[in-house]
Amino acid sequence: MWLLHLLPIGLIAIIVHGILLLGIVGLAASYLIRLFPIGELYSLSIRIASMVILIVSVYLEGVYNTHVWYQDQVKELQAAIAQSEAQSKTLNNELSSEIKKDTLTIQNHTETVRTEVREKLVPIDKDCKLDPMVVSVLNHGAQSPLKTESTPENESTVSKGNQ
Amino acid sequence: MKKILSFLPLIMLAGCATVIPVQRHFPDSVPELMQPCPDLKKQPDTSKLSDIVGTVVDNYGLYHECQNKDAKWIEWYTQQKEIFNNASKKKK
Repeated sequence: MWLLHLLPIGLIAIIVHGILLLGIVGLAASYLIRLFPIGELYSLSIRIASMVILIVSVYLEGVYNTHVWYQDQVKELQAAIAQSEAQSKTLNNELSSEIKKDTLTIQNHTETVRTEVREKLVPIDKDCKLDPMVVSVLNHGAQSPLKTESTPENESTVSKGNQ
Repeated sequence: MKKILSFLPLIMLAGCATVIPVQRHFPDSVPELMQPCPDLKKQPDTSKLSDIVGTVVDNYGLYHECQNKDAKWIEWYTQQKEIFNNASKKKK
């Protein structure tokens, strides 16, 4: 059917239905022609030819209808895919907006708590002097075990700009 | 007879029916979700508890952002899967 794709579907329909009609008309003609004296000679050959044409046309009708059915299925599927792609894009836009909004909320919350800490510097630091080991242990905890291995000793030299 | 034989190529062409492939593209992700979570902040040398608390608060913030991203990934996957499956269901 791939070469027939070059033809418009309407033209293929005309050809296929035309062949079927030819077979039916031929078969009917093979009986009618016997009414004429000369018709006896051609009646059998016309009937055989018409039967062959009819069989071929039934096969072609099947192929044509299958082709049309597939085309319809493809169109439906393409429409469904186009719709799902549009839904997918809409979802992405919604999620993107939500993420931006949530990130801003989290950052604002963090800043609020940081401000709270800054406001309460004196009471927080009043009765507490930390051992230098605390920082290295904290940094050791902050280091992902899946990344480069680090020890509390080499983490104590983290630069001030990291804060 | 010649006329009958002339139909043979047409039958052979008709036999070449092929299924037209319909391509589906994997949905794009949200750009914000494609950024990896940052490393936790390290604490510069200090003896003040307030500095430590500040760093811990910052790291909590980073965790919350990462937690939110993770939740959005799950939401993205669940909903995209539903959209994908619904497109196939509509066909049936």
